[in-house]
Amino acid sequence: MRHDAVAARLSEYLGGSLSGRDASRVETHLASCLDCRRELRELRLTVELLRELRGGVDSPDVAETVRARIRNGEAEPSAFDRLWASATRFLSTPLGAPFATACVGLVLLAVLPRIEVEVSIPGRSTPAATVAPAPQATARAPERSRAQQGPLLARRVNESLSGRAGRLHGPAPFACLESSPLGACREQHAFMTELAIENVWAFMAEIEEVPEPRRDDLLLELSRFAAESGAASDVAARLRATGDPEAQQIAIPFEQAR
Amino acid sequence: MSHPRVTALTQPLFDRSRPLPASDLPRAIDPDLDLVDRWRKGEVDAFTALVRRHQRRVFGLLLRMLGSREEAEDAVQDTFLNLHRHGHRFRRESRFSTFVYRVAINAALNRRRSLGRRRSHSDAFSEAQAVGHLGPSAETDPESALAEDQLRTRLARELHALPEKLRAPVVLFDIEGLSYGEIAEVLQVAEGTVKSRIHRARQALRARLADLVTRPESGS
Repeated sequence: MRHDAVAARLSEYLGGSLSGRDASRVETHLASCLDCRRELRELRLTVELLRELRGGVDSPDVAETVRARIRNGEAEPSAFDRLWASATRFLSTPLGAPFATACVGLVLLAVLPRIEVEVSIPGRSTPAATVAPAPQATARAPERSRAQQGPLLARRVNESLSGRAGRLHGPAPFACLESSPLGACREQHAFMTELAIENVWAFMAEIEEVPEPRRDDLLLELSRFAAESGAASDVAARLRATGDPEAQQIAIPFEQAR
Repeated sequence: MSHPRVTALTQPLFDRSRPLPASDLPRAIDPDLDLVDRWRKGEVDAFTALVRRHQRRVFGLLLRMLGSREEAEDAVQDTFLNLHRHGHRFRRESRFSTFVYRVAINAALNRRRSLGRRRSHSDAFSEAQAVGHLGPSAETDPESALAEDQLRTRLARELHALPEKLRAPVVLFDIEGLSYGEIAEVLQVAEGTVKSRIHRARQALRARLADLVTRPESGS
């Protein structure tokens, strides 16, 4: 054993806590190392001096004072301590482990569906509070945030596009949103905003060719599509900015659909 | 095989057994468990008996940790109030006395933190005198009693000069007589850290007490 290694373990050697093999190595080194012998001797004397401080303390009797302070309510456990004590006592009973397992299961059951909704939040909205998956609503709820809509929005818009107004431009563009990660959905959403605007321009360009009764329906579909894409405001603003009187009229359903 | 020249140095200072197993300490090993059980059932007298049983050692530890008799008296009350408050955290994986030491060390650390730097250096000297508090015993003559008192005061002062993280383990090991394992539990550090800190503390004290411990090697 090297000198440094022995010097570092002299206190353990002194206390008799080294294994027989290590102690023997230390002794071998001590036999030939004057410095280590001196250090060991001085450490031993130091410890003997410290032992002079053992006992010899005139301790006050605080038992009655402590008892009085406890009765005075100064040692009441905190609410957390009481709760913790009750919980640990209960968990140590035979019912504790099954109860804890059931609690974990319930928590997972409650949390997992929310995780699916959170992951599929599209668009630019701020992180929303977790909510349970949307029930099958019969009527639209305009107050719901876009973050709450998620894949349901994609399905509804795609169904709508595959019917009538969507035929103006391209296939169902939200198809990827129903199954793809959030980043891709965001890109698709930006694309859909542009698509909504393009659809309106196309509508305006072809308006003369659309039969009169069909115009309002088509405009309503376009405004709903734009609203569900989060693009209704942009479309309305673009229409207003043209200054064209007809565009001002067409902008109204988009503003109402926001 | 021991070499003859070092035989005198190899006798262990303390006959400490290895750390106790960490669970299921039988009542024979921990004599406090009966009182602990009664206290947990709501017997205030049982807790008072535990206080009486441990207060002397707790006070000694706190005196050496804090250096002031006045502070130690306050801290010993804090210790037992905290013990009563958090007693449910004692899980019988170690001796109850080890748990009490842990609460006491925490009380000392909290008190030192609250004291901050308010204490002046001059306080340390009065503290050191407080640590060597006991007067001369009846059996010793006044001269040797005075020398003994001076020595204890000096030792207390040098001990107090150590950094806290070195002082606590050396006090618990060399003065209070705890094992490495028990100290590791009290201080919530690894056993290897305890050994290392004890050695460093002893080395620091050896240097500070050089005038008392440096003697020529006999027979060399």
